[in-house]
Amino acid sequence: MSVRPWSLWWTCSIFMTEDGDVQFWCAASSDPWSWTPKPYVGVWLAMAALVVFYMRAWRRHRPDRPLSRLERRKPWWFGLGVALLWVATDWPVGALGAGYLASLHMLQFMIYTLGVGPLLLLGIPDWFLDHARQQRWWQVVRTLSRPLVAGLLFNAVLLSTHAPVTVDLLRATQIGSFVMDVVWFAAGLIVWLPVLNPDSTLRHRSPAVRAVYLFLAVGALPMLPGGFLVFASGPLYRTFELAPPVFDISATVDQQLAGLIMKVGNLPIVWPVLLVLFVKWSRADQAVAPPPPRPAVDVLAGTAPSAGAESADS
Amino acid sequence: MADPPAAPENPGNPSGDVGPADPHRPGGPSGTTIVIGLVVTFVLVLVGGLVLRANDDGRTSTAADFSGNLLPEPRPRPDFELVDTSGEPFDFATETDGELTILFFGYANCPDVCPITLATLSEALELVRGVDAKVVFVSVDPERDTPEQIRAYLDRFDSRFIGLTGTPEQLKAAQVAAGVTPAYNDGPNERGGYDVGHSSQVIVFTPDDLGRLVYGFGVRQDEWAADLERVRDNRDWWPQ
Repeated sequence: MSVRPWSLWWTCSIFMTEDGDVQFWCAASSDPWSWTPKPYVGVWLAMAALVVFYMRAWRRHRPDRPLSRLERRKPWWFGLGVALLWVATDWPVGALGAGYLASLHMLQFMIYTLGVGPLLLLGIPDWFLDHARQQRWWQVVRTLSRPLVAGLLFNAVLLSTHAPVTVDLLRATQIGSFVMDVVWFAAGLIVWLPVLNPDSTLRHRSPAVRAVYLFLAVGALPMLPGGFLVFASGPLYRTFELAPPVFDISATVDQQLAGLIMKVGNLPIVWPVLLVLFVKWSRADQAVAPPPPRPAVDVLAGTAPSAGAESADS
Repeated sequence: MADPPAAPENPGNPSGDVGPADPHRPGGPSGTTIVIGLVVTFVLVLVGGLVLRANDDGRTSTAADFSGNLLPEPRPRPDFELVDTSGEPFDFATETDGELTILFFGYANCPDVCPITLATLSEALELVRGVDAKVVFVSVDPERDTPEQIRAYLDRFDSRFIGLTGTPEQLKAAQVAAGVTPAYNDGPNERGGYDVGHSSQVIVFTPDDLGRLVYGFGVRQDEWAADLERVRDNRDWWPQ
């Protein structure tokens, strides 16, 4: 049975009433914060769609050979990624981040881009892509896998989706909030493509370039907007400044916390990955290092290779 | 973070760049074009947002344009007597005579408007140090708000804020005198208590003892700060 996208959208739109008990997506609200759970049907549908898509692709493309240990682990990576995505999008984190606390809004962004993105990419086996490589849009994936493109795009998303006008505009409605979360989700996948691309031929070959890319794109550049949030004289986001209070912290402190999360929240993820990349780089260097010089006694014995042969070997 | 799985490098790609494009792919915009388009779109959104924001900030720069409503007919400072948080009588007109005064009616269990308004005022007054304003909070929930509770509540925002309470009749008379709609019990809430429906208006009385500005809910800290600076400097809007 095929489901047309527009019919699914129409079904979801039933839940888009702002005053209903069941809503489609987390958005800003003037209601006082309550710890009574609220259902967001669009979030559940999105998570279910991801899982169903993955299971169908796994059954359809699984090769007729025993899977390696690494391949058998991939569904767990993907499942963990979906679970993190769910936690970051659904009540309470999603609801708090959409309309009450700038710090939770920032935490959501970090989970999307530093947790969900890499885990989902790690969960996709190479043989999922056999069909995709034949498609026209695969060229877009190839382009997005270039470090410069991915880094620029990620930081463009970071800047534009944390600009006060964007946050205040999009978080005010369910559809706007949905768009912002989808953009974050895409950015989280894109930024890791040069490093963890399921198609290993699209990863940058040099671990050093991957490490520098990751440091600049995810570690260093986000510190600048993070600094703006920490050192701003007052709240920048209308949404969070005029939101009903939660946890009894002021809007300014909440924003400073958000800036701090943006500045240092990537450290526990980026630095261990950098360490792994440097170890790989070091191993690769050792693998291509020239052999140690022969003992002098060999040279004296006339068994050393000629200068011309040495030059050719190196 | 888990160790990323080791992946075979691309031996046929010594430049380290991604592989060549498929020569058999159909025509149409290239991936690079699409990505550049996306980046340009994001940058335009960002720049547009900054321009809108700059225009929005410039809104308060014109002489008569306050974030609050400038009353065409200023209200006289109301005359009512209540009890402050130390239990002493507080005559509003006498105690605030000749001073810049910000009057607000609310209650300590308010989940939204009151804490947001008081926090906004507190932060705005921090932004414009040197503005000597008396902030007077009148509780409209005499059943629950004792003077001690009001003091503890206000201290969360600013210990200089003045808290007042009284009998239901006194409070109703104070609200009528100030020109706001009297508060009412709004029924039980999900937190096991009850809500109080009350005016969200904040009234600013200038040192000439007239209420000239009225603010609804939703005015931001920087807007309050800009208005308070203008009131302090007595630049261009109230008669000498």
